[in-house]
Amino acid sequence: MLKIDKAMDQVTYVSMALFAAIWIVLIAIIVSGAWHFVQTHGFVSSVASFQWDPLQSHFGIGSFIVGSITVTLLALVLAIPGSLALGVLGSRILQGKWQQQFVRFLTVFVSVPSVLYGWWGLTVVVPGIRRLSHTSGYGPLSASIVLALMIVPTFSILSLNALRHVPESYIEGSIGLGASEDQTLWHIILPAARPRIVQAALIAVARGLGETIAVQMVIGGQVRITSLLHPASTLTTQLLTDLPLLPVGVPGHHVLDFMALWLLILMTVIVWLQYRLRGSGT
Amino acid sequence: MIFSRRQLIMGLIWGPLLASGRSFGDLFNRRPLVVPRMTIMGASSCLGYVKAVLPQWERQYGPVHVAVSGGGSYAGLRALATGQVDIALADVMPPPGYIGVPVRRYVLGRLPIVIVAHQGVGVKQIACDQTRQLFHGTITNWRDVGGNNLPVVVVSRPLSSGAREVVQTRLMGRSQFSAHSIIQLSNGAVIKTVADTPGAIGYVEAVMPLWRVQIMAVGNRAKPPEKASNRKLYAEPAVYIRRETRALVISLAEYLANDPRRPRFGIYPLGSEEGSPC
Repeated sequence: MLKIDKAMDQVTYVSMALFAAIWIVLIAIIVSGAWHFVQTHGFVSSVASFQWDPLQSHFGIGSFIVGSITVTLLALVLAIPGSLALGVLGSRILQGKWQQQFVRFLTVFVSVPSVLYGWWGLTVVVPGIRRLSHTSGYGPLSASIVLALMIVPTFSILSLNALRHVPESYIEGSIGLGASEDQTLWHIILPAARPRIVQAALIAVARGLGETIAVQMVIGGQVRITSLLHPASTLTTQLLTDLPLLPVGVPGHHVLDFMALWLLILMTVIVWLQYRLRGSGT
Repeated sequence: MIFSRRQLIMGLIWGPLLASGRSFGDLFNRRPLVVPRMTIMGASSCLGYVKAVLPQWERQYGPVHVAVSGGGSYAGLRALATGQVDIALADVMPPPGYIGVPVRRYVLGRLPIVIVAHQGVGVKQIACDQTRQLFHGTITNWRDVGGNNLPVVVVSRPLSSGAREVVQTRLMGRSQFSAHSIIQLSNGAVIKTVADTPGAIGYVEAVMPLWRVQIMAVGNRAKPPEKASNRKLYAEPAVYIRRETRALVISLAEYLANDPRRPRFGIYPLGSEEGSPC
């Protein structure tokens, strides 16, 4: 048995090394391609430019960066109230079996494939926005609403866990001093859980930033962002759209590496923020 | 318990890897390759036709396995240039020097491209100039072309699309598509968007039933030509192979270019009408 354990130890180390090596190779491919692109076309001129026409060697990705950040932040803003409300409902109001069933219910929604959210967006959100705004209905606002709905279950479950971690003694102390349930929630529970809730929000943001299909189905795919109500693109949706146009080996393909690198950079910033904000938790 | 939890997990990770490695080894080392393999890649508009007629050719030529995948015309041509595939399907004309190796081109026929609009726009015929201005975004309401009071919503395809290239070169000329146009990745998505969006206008390759949309007559015609092969907006999908290649690949390319079932999939023999629709 000891021999098997030792062998398994070695297999574990090899697996870890293999895993790390695969990731390093993947990132190296993207960084190398992006570096090649930056050397040819320049960093600032590509990021600051909004002109995208790869067949004419115009590689301005500014519009896609703005699109990604806008759609994700707007989705977060739309998701925060509902997610926190569901978190409070699941952690403080529902008890016992009801609480368990509620968590299961949210978990089911976490596992719904994103294409179904996109389909829902196409059949409900886009016509709704069209009716209200008298535009086509496709655009960053529709994408944000779909994305908000997608991240609400994840955000809610993580918020629910954050609220559960607030020590009972804090709550009992607050009630004991004469505070009402609402006062305790606003002034004790939510502030105490804030670092974990912020973490939850960042995890939700990371999911939103990387989402492609659901956003692609409702954002409209136009290469220049002009308003929340007109078609636009994000980094991920434009990567998807232009992969057939710029396959490996074609001049201009490396702009896709550069866009992928931007996604990695934005994701890294989110992870960094998450670690920074975790330090002050309860 | 015979295995620890960790052993079980590692087994689950490595088992399939080792098993696939063994079969991979079998494929290349132990057992000779008796079944010739070929790969086709390219324009999704031709995939329906290719997949439908391929089994008959495979039966005719004995044990041969052909893998077919989409990815778009440009990706298919690039893969042909680098030797990753044997046959590329493309409904765009590759820019000079794009392929970089000597190739043979077999035209499959004509794939009509149809201008479609939402059923509530109130017109069935538009002049060429009007079509251009509608796509460009100069005309913003259907009222201006004799239709109902509805804002115009342009639905287009991405730059990699063969249909877009045809509409751009043969209809739009120097005009560009509206900066507010909706870009959809497939013919099906264009049809759904046009059918569902009041005031929408778009264009599709007629490889599928065009239901719930208004097919527009463009130019001086009172209605779209009855014979699909006579429509003047069309893509010319073609099969590309390397000039120096296996006889089997040439045989398949010729078979695809000559099979009489092409019209069933929207690809018609070259017609008599030539020139621009406008």
